[in-house]
Amino acid sequence: MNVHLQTERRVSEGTLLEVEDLKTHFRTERGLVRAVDGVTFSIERGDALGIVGESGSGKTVLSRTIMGLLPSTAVLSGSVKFAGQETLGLDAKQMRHLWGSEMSMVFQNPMVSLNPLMRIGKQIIEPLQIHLGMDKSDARQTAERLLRDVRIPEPEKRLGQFPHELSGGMRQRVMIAIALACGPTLLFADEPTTALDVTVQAQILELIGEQRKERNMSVILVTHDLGVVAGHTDEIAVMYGGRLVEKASTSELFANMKMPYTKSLMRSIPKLEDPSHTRLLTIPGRPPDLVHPPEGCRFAPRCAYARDKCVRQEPPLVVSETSSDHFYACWYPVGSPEFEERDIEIMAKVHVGGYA
Amino acid sequence: MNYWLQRFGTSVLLLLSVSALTFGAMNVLGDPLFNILGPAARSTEVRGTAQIEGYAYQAGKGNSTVGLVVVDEADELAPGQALLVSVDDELPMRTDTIAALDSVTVEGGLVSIADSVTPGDSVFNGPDPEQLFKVAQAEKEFYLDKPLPERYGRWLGDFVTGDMGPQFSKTGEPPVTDLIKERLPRSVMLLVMAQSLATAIAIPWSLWSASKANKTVDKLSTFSTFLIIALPNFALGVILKYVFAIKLSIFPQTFNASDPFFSRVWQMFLPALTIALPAAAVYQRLLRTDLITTLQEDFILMARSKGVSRRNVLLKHALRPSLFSFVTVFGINTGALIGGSLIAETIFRVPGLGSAVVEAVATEDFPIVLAIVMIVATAFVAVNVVVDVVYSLIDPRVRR
Amino acid sequence: MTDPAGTPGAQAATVGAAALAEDAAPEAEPITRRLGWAFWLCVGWLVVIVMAAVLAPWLPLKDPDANLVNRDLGRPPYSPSSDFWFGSDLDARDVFSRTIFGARVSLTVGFVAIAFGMLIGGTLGILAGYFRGWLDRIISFAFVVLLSFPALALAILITSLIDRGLLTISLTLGFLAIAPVGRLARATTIQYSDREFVVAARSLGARHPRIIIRELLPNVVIPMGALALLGMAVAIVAEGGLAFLGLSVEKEETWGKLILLGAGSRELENSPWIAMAPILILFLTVLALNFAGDKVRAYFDVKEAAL
Repeated sequence: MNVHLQTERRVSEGTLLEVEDLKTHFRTERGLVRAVDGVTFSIERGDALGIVGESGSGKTVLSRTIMGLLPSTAVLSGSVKFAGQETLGLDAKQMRHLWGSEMSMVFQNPMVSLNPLMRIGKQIIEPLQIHLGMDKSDARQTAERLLRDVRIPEPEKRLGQFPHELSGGMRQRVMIAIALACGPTLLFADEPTTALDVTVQAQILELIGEQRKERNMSVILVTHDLGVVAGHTDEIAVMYGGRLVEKASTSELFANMKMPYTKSLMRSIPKLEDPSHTRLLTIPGRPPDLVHPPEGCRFAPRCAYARDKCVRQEPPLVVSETSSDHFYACWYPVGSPEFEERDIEIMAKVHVGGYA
Repeated sequence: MNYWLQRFGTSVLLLLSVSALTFGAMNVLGDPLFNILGPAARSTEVRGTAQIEGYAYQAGKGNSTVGLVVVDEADELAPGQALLVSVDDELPMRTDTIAALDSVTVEGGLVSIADSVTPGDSVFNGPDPEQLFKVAQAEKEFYLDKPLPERYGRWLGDFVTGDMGPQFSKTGEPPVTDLIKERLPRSVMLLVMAQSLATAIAIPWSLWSASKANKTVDKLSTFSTFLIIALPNFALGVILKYVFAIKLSIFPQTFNASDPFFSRVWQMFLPALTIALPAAAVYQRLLRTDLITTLQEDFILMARSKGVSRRNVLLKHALRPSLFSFVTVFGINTGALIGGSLIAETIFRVPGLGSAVVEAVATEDFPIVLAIVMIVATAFVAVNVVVDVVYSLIDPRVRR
Repeated sequence: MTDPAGTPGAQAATVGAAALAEDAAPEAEPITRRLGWAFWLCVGWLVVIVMAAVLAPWLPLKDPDANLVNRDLGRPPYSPSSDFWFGSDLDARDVFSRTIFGARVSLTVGFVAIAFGMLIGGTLGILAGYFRGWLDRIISFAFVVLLSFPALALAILITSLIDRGLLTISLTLGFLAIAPVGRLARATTIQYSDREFVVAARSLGARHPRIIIRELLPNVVIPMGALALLGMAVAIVAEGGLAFLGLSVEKEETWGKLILLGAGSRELENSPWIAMAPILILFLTVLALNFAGDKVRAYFDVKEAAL
């Protein structure tokens, strides 16, 4: 199948990406690892979706599955439609035409994601030559312009430099420039700020947001940090144990969180308004075993609010009464009487001033 | 700057140590005099017959008396003590027949005197005066009478100024320096050919096997590297010679130094291959391992996500960061091969430094051995420096 | 990966991520915790050849020095047959039994050489790596000096100066092994010295010898063991090389000497088995040592195993 999504056939508005019941399994010595176990969502052109989860939740595997960057040993099922065309199961040769031109990715750690032995300029020019067929001088000019777009000072100088000569924030900007080079319609940002200073984080996120608006580009922001997605996404999807456990528009999510898990994530972020010595609520325990996931709710073993039913039966995804776009999977969500009961006990322990 | 100064100092110290050790070993464990003069150096006593009563010995073999010498004045000598006597024609000689003790002049040196004898007794003499002369001359020339450190110093001084001394075993023939000059280029040619072949084989091979890692063909390929490395170099050389030179007659059997350049290159092919094949296997293994490691890196995934083709990911992104171990081993190999490959040169009769060493040790010709050892050590040091420089070229992070 | 390697979920993420090298890259080399059948095959061969060598005088072999001319077969050399398993050489001596008896010497040389090299080199390397400082500088310098010599030339030189006895040759080859072994020992020691258990031992007041012997030695011995196997192969081949140049052990027969005897052009053409039989045995032994050594190294290589 020839997958050449040329500019003419590009989706200029409407649904860009449709993911349905996507599953990614890996065969290992220990068994079949269900890294992504049935994820469904879609995203419109120009929107920003945040995928939030801990390490081991499957969020990174998800983004790479959609891109198609997994080795052939991964077992995939479900459907991924990009601009109306099924891309799941295409081999690398076919996907290569999409990579860098229609969909691209910004990686987590810019120090190791940029080729340390190759000059910055060359790394930016590469996709330009491959996808847009530019010659050297045109590509160089474009590269310079891209560096300017991402607000790197002295762009001509930077072109000839090596990654280690740049600061962390600048390297990440370069990564963004590379990802944007051919004007993709979908950008994956996989923990784009985790390796950076807090002060730089905000700048990077704003930069991504700016470019998104300018290019009408869809962005999927993958992170473990709720704070990162708070101001920069239209929708948020929370992943746990390989599954989507809650999904809502950003404002809706923060206003009406349903999953105790999401609530716990919120609570583990320190806030300035809290009195000093407020205990941080961490989520105890470890992510579930993806080879033999538990029968009931996957979060139940660690959930402070879990009851018998949670351990025995897996809760289905239901629509929230607060908004028709808000999905969650929980027997005793935030706001339910059972939840409130437990909550009082738990919060009492938190607001003890001084040393506990 | 400081770094290079330090390196230079260490290198000099290294070369001094190497030469001192070799020099010391050869002079302490071996007998330099023996090597210069051969068995004559140890010429044992010559038998003679006492002529007169008293203290006597007779020089020369057979009956010929080499001139009776009457000398004046002497100190008292005890049995075991001896004299060296000089006469008009300035050759220091042993006394021939001592007429009377008090007529012997002490000149220095030691000579053994027989006990009292009566005419007709067999007498043991010192060395043949002719021989003694040669010995004394040799000692002067090679400073053998001086202490070891001084001898080393003199040798070093000569060496550094380009004088590697005469060949012990072939006095009168061209000095070692000429020998080296003649043979070094051939070993270098062999080295260049061997390393080029090895690299030309190893790099494509490793790229191919890295891209097919752990598949069956790759496992076969890895196994074949074991086979190649396990086969001893002399066995490989013999087999190659047998198959290609004798049976198939594609290549000539031996090397002829007077042939034109391309002819010589052709003749060098088999010996170069003998060296290159095992080297290529080693290089390939290193490169493959490093390539596979590099291919796990994030920036490779990044390159892929830009749409770079598999081929270009290997060639343009993965290869360069994977070269480090290879460059190191390549360098060490180059240093070692400057001294020629002893085995390959012997099998294919290439008159290079390697075969020179083998011959020199057989004839106990120390200056040659010493010179070649020094050359190899110097090459080793120089190559290490070059490797460092190459590192900084490959990896911009290392630039000093 | 910043994940703690232990949690199963993180493990999955790690596996996933590690396997995420793109299609052109293979997944990371499988963590072979097993040594594999090939390894045991090599060990088997080595056991066989060592036993054969050790028990040679008592095995029902023909006398290696006897001229077993057999009128019925014509003039020697005799090609391989049920009587002469590997054929005979020009003097009608049984190549098979000569090869076995040659194994005694070749294997001894290899073993003594590497044992000596390991003992001296290993000790020096560990001391250098553990104590560092000026001791390290001196020892490391000595190693580099040793490494700068052209090895074979040096071996030839030393043996020509002293003598060509079995012990001398073995020790000379061992002497040449000191530097490579020492460098590995030093590097491994340094690697382990920084690990927590050494620091812990020291903070508990353990004195140096105790730390070296109880904590470091067991860990250093492993990569050295792999090197020992490889080194023995190198030593055996080196001896073969010396013998090929006519400069090896004087009295006894070794594989190299046997090969030399059969390596003349005429012999190769008419009776290749004289050289090829010992070449084959030598080759198999060296191959087994190389392969086994490599497997041991891979099995214990901490870096490779902990993905």
